[in-house]
Amino acid sequence: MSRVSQSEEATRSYAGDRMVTPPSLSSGPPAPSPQGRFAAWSTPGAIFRHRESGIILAALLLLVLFSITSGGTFLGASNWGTIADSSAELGIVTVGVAMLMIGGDFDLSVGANFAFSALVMAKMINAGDPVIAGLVVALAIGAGIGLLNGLITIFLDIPSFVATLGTWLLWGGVTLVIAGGATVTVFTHSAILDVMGGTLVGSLHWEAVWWIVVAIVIGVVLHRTVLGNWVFAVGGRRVAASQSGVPVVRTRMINFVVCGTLAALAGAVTFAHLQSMAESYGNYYQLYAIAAAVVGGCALYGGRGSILGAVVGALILSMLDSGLILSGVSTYWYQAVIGVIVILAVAMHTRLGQLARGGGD
Amino acid sequence: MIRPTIRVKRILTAGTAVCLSALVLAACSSSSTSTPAVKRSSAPASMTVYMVTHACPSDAFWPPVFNGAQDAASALGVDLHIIRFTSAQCGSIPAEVSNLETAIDAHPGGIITTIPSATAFSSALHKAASESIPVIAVNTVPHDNSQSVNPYLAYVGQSNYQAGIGAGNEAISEFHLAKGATVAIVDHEPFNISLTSREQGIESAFNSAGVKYTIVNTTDNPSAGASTVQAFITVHPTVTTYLSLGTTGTTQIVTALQQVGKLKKINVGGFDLDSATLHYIQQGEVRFTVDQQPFLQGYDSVEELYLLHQYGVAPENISTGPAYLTAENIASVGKYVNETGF
Repeated sequence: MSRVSQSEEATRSYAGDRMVTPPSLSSGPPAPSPQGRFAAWSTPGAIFRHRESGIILAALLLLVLFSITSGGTFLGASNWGTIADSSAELGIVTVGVAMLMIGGDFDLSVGANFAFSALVMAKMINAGDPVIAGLVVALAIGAGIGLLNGLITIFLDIPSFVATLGTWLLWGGVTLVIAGGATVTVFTHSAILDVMGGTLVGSLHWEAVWWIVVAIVIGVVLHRTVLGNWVFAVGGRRVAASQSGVPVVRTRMINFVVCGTLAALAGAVTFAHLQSMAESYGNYYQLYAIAAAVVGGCALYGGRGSILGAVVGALILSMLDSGLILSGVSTYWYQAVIGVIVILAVAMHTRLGQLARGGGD
Repeated sequence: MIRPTIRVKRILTAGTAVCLSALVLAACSSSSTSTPAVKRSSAPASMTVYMVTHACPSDAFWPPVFNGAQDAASALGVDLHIIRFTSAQCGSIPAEVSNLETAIDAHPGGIITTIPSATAFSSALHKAASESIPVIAVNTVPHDNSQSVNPYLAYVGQSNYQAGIGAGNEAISEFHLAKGATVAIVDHEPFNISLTSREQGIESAFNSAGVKYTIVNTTDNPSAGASTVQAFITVHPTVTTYLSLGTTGTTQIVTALQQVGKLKKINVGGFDLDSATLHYIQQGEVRFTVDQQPFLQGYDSVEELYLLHQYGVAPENISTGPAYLTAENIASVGKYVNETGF
């Protein structure tokens, strides 16, 4: 994963220099340049030029810290199954949110989307529809919610933060209405539900596999394709990107749809794991997905970040949850510690970014 | 090229950030140190118990449960870890399941957990059973639970369905509800299966007596919920009896009645007890509440795990309710309540 991550310099050159140069105006978006992309790896000490390196180091230090404070239980295979499960549910949402944030937009409706689409799936299964039909409809609803977010943001020219604040409340309310506010429980067992969220081995569930698959696919798209370049360009300098022929509207719409679809996928795999769903199940995700993406190095105003960072960010949040519990610390501290970690992580990313720029050129 | 000094500075920056977070964590750890335990017997080894709940920080119902559990833990020399929701996690069953799974990973001597979903906890509870970790269910279990779906050794709490039937019958006799009368039932947590069971119990009692009912769904938010109830009262002036399904709902009803000036003119009954409900009953604003002795739920669940661990005594279901509290018995019970938690 780390090899596909984009360096500070590469991002800057795509978002800034390359995109604005006149030739791209006539020739469309530039093709990826492997030299620019991986040049940073050519020097042995260049690892710290990558914004993920700091956060990976932080994750490793948390690992050491919790291993000591928990008396070793934190390192158990069983605990890593638990951490992988809970970070997968948050992590699938975070991958979509990260891609959207890199493109310069927000989606606060992911939690409501997560619950609404999975709840429709649950109700369809209880009504006797095939599980696969429920899954397809859930993903379609997620994509549709993303599409609507994009249309409202772009064509009504409303900041996505506000547009998706509205759709968060809208879909949260619709979810309450269609379920009568209640939890929908499904007792049906099926192979598809097992492969989505059933037990894989020990305490590890299939959700973790889907998280890895999603992260690799979106990681490759974002860091290895023209679309990925567009996303960084649109998030970095939107006007410049537009002037150099990047299809800004199409790129942003794709980001919204991907983010919405992944929120629905996270809802579907969580539902498959728990066999139940309610509006409140999504509460946790909208702000924590943004927190995980920010911890992982996604800039709040776009243009910077990586899928590897988003994956590590979600992992760190789950490690904190489990580590605090196993260390005997009151879970009330979880929220406070995440707040501190978010601030420290952003401070670290900013500082590392400045150092990389200062030392790299 | 990167200059060596820059590299060192980068490592130092990352290191400083992590060290700061480590300091924060260390500060948290030291503040959670428990008080020295007074042991009942010469216990050979200390026992660790995890208590996992869906308690929201804003919910006044839970503190006596935790106080009971802590009292038992310090009396018996049990190392008790209580896992609660943060505000952001309220109502999130995935978060509670994850907390339960983490508790199992700690391989404690026992686990106490609520089971507020018919299916979501199944996989984790089977895992605990397969690892021979004793589990006591507390406060909330699915109505008509099958041990093959959610295995646990015993349940300490009330049958919410039976409590619902009791509340329905109490309302019929206390408020002299005739056949054809309509009662509004305020549900502040429609996703909570305990409240759904209570509601079903009330419906069963009302159906037998020919009393009609209508459900008013609100939320955990006290003022938004009160506004919803107030709107309902305005639109339905003929409804003269309101039942809540918990203390949050009781407060919403009383607040709404206060705002429309109908306090004490409308019959109010409900479930559970907190300092506000105690006050309402003393003032005659609420006529009865169905108590489930939350302190006992915490105390007895720890005690049962201790007895199993220490002497191999098999845990038994303990019914902690329902008990009906009215103006007649609230004074003495209120004294006990004040001593155990509010």
